[in-house]
Amino acid sequence: MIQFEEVSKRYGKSFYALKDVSFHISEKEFVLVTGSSGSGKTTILKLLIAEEKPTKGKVSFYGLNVHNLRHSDLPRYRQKLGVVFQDYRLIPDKTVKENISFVMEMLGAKDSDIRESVRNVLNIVRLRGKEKRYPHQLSGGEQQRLAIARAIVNEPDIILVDEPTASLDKENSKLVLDILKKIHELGTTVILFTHKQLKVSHAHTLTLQDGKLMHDSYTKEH
Amino acid sequence: MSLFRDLKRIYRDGWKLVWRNPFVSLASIIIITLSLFLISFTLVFYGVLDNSLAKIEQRVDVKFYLLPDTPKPELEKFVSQIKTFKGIDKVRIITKEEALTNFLKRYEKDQLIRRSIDELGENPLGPSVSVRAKDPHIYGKIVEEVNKRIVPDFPYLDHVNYRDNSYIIERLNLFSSVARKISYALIAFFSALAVFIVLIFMGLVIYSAKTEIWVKRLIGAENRYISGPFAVAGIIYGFFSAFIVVATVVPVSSWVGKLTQSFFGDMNPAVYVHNNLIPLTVFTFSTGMMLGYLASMFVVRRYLKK
Ligand SMILES: Nc1ncnc2c1ncn2[C@@H]1O[C@H](COP(=O)(O)OP(=O)(O)OP(=O)(O)O)[C@@H](O)[C@H]1O
Ligand SMILES: [Mg+2]
Repeated sequence: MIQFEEVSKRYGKSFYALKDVSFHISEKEFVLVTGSSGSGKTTILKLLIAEEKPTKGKVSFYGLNVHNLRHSDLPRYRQKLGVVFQDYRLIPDKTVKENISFVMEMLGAKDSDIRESVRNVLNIVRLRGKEKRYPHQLSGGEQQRLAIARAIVNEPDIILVDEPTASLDKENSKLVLDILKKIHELGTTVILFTHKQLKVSHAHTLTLQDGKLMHDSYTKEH
Repeated sequence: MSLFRDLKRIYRDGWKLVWRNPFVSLASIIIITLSLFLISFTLVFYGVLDNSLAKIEQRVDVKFYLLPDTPKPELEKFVSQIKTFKGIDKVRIITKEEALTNFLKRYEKDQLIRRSIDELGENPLGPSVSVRAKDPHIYGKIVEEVNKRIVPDFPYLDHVNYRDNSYIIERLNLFSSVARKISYALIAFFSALAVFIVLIFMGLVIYSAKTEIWVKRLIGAENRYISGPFAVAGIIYGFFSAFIVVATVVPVSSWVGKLTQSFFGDMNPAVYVHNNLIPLTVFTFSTGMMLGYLASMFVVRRYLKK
């Protein structure tokens, strides 16, 4: 499904955030990309959603080179990805409900479909009853879950979550992780980028260090 | 059907942008209101100036004084010949009798003049023909034409007052072209200033909505969904601003106009506003809404390009 082939990303003249990284992710996997701060996790995410271009190498989605997509085809590609950012990027002047529903509105969904989907995802992320609140009226964990709800409401093929538990306490971390596992069980590919060691059984783990891929649990070569 | 639904959502989101950012909205409306005041004031200034100039221009004419014994048919022939010239607005005959009445009226208190007219026993004044041109620049040409085409077969022309008037006419021509140029420049300058202020300000407004634009782009929204609500919000800001401008300027100036009419006369800006209420209102609303729309579109476009 996703293929990185000797991908490097250089910032400035000589700093490599990623160096010759190769890996393969199949459909319906649960992937953990781990590594300490600054190891290049968010860089991988940005390359995947084509927000940044690789300096070298190829990133492909079902065999399609993501960075050769025409500008006009980019939206359609991105709609297949649900992204949760490290800083959530919720829209401050939209309510919980609107932060989710506008994503479907953008794609021209019918009001009745939107209502139903919003109710469903709110159930999944356990935010029922808080529809009318604004993001600043939510706790950190709730904001995180709202960001997840927004990412999954369009039923993307993959959901990418950057630091899902970084700023959460144990309890909330577990809740968020359980929600993500649930989403995975419902048939979505899940990729988590985290500097913490998370306990997920049967996960595909990629370990980064200083921009290099140190370990890939599915290939024992490293 | 789905286009209608999209428009409805865009419209709704535009209003939400306005209501949910009350301080930003209030500030935007104030800024646009000030800009509209600038534009409207220069426009009224121009309108008053133009009106007054037109009125003054209308008062200028050239008079052909004929001899007292000019026969009536000759007089009428003279008039009809002048009417065939290009650019003539009005031709008016002042008969011998009218001339005398006017003359006596002017020297009502001057016993000496009255007595000498009485002693003469007959009207010593001749008729005259006042010619008004559509364009004050052509008086010189009219006089020239009369001398060339009519005078050779018309022995009754006594004198023309063009020489007396020509100085005023020249001055007026010069003044009005300079005054018009200045007011064009003022309109252009203040409009540009207004647009500039609004642009900078809307830049700040939309900067605060950066996340929203960014997220919408990321999830692959089409541009109209991204910029649409901002366009609507811009138009709403413009509408309210125009409302404020019209709601203050129009009644206040109408009222002031009535109070000061006798003082200002034709040059009264308030009377001008009063007389041009509807076009000014329409102009203010359309300019305000256009200004808000263009400013927000211009700014959003910068974020869409990246
Ligand atoms: N736009 C940029 N310009 C220059 N350097 C950058 C840029 N973005 C990231 N970097 C650098 O690239 C390296 C990898 O960054 P990245 O954001 O991928 O790290 P990360 O693994 O996500 O870290 P964290 O766990 O702190 O989020 C860092 O050293 C960072 O300083
Ligand atoms: Mg990161």
